[in-house]
Amino acid sequence: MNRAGWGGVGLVVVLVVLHFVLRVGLGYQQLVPDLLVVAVLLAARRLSAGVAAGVGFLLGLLEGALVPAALAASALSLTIVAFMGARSREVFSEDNYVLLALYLFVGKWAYDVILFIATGDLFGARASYLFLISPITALYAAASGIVAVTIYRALT
Amino acid sequence: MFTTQREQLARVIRSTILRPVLAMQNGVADRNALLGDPATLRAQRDSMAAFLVGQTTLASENRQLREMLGLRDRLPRRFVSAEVVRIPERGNEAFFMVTAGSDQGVRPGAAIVAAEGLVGLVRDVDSATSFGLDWTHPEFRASAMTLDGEIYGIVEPRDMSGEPVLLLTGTPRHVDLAPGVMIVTSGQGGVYPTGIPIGVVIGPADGEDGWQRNYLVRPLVGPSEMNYVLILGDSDSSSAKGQDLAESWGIRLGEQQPVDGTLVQLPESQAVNGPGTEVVARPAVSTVQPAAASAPRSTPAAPATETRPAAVPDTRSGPALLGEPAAPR
Repeated sequence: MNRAGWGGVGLVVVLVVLHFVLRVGLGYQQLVPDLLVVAVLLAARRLSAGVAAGVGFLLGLLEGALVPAALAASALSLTIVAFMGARSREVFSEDNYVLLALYLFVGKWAYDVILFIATGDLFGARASYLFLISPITALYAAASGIVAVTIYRALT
Repeated sequence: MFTTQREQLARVIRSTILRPVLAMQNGVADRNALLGDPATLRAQRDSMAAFLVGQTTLASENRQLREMLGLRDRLPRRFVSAEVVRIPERGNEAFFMVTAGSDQGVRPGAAIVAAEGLVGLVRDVDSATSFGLDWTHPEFRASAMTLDGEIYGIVEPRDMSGEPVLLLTGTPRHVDLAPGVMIVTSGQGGVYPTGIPIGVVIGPADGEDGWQRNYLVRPLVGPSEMNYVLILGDSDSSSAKGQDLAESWGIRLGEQQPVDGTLVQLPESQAVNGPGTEVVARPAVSTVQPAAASAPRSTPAAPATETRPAAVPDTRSGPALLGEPAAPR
């Protein structure tokens, strides 16, 4: 693996660690963007669809272990999002920041939708979350992803 | 079986890869509990101090009386205090983590309560943390009854115009529950001990189910108030059934509490302080068959002087309610 490849792995690892430390460990919760989904989406751009799905599945298990009832739902959601993210390489190039931001926004929102479907909340009392809160968190995730990629490119 | 395997897998992940993160989370929760909102903590401390000053002789008097009656000391129920940590955006928010686990004596299936009443139950237990679900979870069910023990039913979560509430189902059709009636756990089913306050009746729910009626119940513990909880630990009794926790909340089972605020005039023959002055609060639960109200109960309840309206004169020398036996002084 070349330097850029290791750098990409490092970026994903840093995002995953930051996600768990800031969001769960230090309890900042939604003050911190969903860096786990951002990490999966960025990793998926560099991996084959199968490998990306595998990475999504493993990280989904990690995330789901914190909410036992959502273990499978979280793993399934991140697997699908990672697979779709890997396939999106055929649609647009990563060099375009606007498209990358759109990709992260759609990816995060899609993750929430799939998670709600998998947990059965889509038609429940919290369904309004998908249309009121979820777009804002997706926007936040997209912005943080752009910042992370910018820093990464500046360093490598 | 699959659920068990899933939970085992989650437990393995939490006890290995995520262990440092969870340890950090527990530390932060402890620190926040220590430093957070000192004004509230000070107010609670002052209230407790004032309460304790008024109760200083009660414990010794109670012990002496029990000795005189030849009763052994009642073993207190164990409670494990913990903080609730929620993981937003991830699946159902009715699931939460609490900062106490098997090391502190928490067991799966234990009831989780707050100062106001029932919160939920423990679902999964690790060594230092546990996972529980609260009453807003779609799977939540609790066997419930009115405080006087006359009417039983099952409470389950419902959404009332965006507000999460509970629905008391399976009550008899011939019985009316007035708004304000307190609902407590009945202890049936062996999941929750008897007497944990759940909520108060808001009113009848739309739609009746055959010969049964449903009522909306406003829980005493709102979702935003589930920050600090108590988890019921082991007691001298092995099962939840038969354990009465009502006194822990300052209530007594078997009483019809005058919570609807409706005052009824007693007939002059029953009046103690003269005509026109004798008013008592009507029992919130009314039944078509008045047998329960007119016949003395086998175990008469002591007077609940704290819950009577201030306008009610002391009627302990005579019957407080129509047909109710005079409580011993």
